[in-house]
Amino acid sequence: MVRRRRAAFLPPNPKTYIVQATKLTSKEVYAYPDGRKETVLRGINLEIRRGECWGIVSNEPFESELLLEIVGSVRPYGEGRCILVERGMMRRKRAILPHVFFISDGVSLPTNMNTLEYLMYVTSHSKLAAQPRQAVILKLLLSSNLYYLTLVPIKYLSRAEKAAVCLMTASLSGALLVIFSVAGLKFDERLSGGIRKLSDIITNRGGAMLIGSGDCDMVQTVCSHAAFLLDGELTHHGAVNEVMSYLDKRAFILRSRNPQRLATALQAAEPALDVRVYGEEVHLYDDRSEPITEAELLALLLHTGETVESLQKSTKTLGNAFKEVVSGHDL
Amino acid sequence: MIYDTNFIRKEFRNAYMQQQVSRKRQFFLGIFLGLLTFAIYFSLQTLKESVINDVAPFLLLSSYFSTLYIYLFLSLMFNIIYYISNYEYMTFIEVMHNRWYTLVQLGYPPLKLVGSKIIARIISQAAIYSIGYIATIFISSFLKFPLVLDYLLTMYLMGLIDIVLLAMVSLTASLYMRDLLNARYLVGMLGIMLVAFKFLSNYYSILENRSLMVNVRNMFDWSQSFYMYIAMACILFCVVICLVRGRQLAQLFNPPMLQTLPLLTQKPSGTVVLISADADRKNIRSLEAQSTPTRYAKKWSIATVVTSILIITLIASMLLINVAVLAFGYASPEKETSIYGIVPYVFQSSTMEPAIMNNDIAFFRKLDSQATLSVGDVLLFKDMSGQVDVASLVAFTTDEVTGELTGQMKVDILNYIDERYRGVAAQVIDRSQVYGVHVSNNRWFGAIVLFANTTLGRLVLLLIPTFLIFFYDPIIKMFRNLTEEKA
Repeated sequence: MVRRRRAAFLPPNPKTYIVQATKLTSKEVYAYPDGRKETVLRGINLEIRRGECWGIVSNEPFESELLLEIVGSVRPYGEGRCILVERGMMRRKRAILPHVFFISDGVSLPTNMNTLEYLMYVTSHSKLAAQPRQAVILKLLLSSNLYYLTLVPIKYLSRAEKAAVCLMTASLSGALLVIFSVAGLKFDERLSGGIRKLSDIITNRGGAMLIGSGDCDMVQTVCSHAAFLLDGELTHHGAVNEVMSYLDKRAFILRSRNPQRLATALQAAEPALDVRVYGEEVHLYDDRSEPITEAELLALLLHTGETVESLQKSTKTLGNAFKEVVSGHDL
Repeated sequence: MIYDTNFIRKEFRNAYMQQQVSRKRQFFLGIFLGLLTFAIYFSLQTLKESVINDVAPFLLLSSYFSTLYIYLFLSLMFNIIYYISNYEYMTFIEVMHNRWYTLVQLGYPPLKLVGSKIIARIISQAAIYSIGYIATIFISSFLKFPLVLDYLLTMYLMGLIDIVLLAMVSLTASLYMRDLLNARYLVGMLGIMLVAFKFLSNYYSILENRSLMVNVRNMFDWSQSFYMYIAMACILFCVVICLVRGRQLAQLFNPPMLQTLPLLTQKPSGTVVLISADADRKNIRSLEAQSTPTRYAKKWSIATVVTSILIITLIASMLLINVAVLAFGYASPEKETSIYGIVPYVFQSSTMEPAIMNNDIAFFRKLDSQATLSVGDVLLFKDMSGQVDVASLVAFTTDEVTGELTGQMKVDILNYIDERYRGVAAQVIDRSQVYGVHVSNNRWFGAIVLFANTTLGRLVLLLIPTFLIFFYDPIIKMFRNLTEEKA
């Protein structure tokens, strides 16, 4: 039946939307202790095209999981509209759709196999013979830099590694939308790099990927687009670089033995600067049209007579951008 | 190395990493069952002169029939335990855990998956059963029993149907039970119900009868037992349910089974997520997430209470038997010591049948010299050589001249193998030699004491409760690990 449905499914043209959510509202509501009720997701507008990889970063993991479940047709939504691959959404929820591959903690893997064997096992129904199929899978493991997982029994993999193995199966499928709901997981650099490669495979063949995660570093590495989901609303979204450059205004990080004194001196010398103290660090935020340069900062330090232990030019990250948004700055 | 694992191969290897290991385990499990059958058969032989011989003579025959009968029961019990311990791999619970999700996504037809699973389970369990059956026949052949082929096939089929029925019922139940612990209890309950149903349907009265087992048609004779028809109908029904419901579930993404609700990290304490605006927060089923983790009190479900009671009863009864055996050693007829005036005596003779059967526990009330006796009483006394003896009071002896009672009495045994010799064992004893009169006897307790004095009996009745008492915590932890879903 799945095969029949797959055959009936016509591939959309390259410019089509994979997901079109308009004013999407969840059925679920928050019930606060004072008796007040509030809808969990409100007015979500999200458009994902072919070839895009979106990361939804939320400070409340439940909210991003809920959004991804709604988009993946696992849960019904309240109001608004959500269209999957320009074909609407099935009324019957939780049905496995050939064009949507949903990965979450709820998908468990058999523990009595290693990664390579598992990938061979799930692809055993394909018409490709075992030998060339194994070659394809090994190539995938090598190209994604996840080859170190090849012969590791699944029972010894971490939850993040298991999720990556699941994503590998998704990259072997023909699904147009891969939903990767991993809000509670933390990915190291190597895994993030592997996920990036797998996401490239999915997007390069005309599919799209939607990641729900609290791991900003992974989202920054993997995704082409990012969206911040705060208090049930998508507050900021766009290309990752744009989001970072627009929201991450931190210019310099200074280390000092007396950070409070340094901050006060810098603020007094240049009132236009936003100076904040985080432990032994002093962070300089600069929202002016012409940001402060290293030379100007050194001149400022000479002027104040303060000494610093280290001075570092801040690189823009999605994590900082998200922190900025969460802490209410730059809104 | 080329991995060519497909679904059916994965099913055949059960929970093991390698096919070869799984095959070896299956083979050795079968052999183990055959050896265990033989051990039980030999243990039962030590109880041949006890009540067991009266109630279940078919277990003690010098025949293949007895060993195979024991094997059929043992293999059913083994399968129940096997399903409980390997539930996660052997049933459809993996569908609930979305373990088929990627397979269906990558083109496996759900119906084929369900069908393959059923076939693999039946073949796999039948293989262990068949190896065990052959092993039992092979080991029994060393005892040089006469080989009667007539009932071998019938008995094999009977056992096989039990295995298939258990497999199908467990598979079907797993499609409706999401919680692993409850599902395991359910399999245990189903196994017990299966045995109970066999008793009720007169199944065992046919199986126990060698002459009936010669003809396989007797098992399908409705007038004798309806078990086979119900079993076949059950199997068919379960197959249909599995195919329909299994296929339906395999096409869905099943929500994960959560032990606790997801936590809200940014919301004020006491906030919950309700399934809809109309839902009531007091209803646990309406909750989707919460800000403070629920501190569940240790719940005592019916299943845990029943298990605890069963384990405590088992330990207590085993310890009681040991205490009783020790008490019998203390209160022995030889030492003339008693417990509350009662002298227990393991009577290992057939001389007092039918009053006291061979290997019965006989209880004698201790007498003082003033107690009155009457003819017909079964007396405990020490004969002239000081040996403990039991005999029935036949008459009080009188002086031939005066006709007065001499204070002596004539006693005799009750059971003579050859009636021509009746009276040969009669003896005259003095009243002072008598120190007990028979009040009652127990056949089953006699058999238990007899078993407790065998090597296996000592192992079972002493080691198991000791092990359960001292290693309670590690055992409970092991079972908890077994029942917890592997992430």
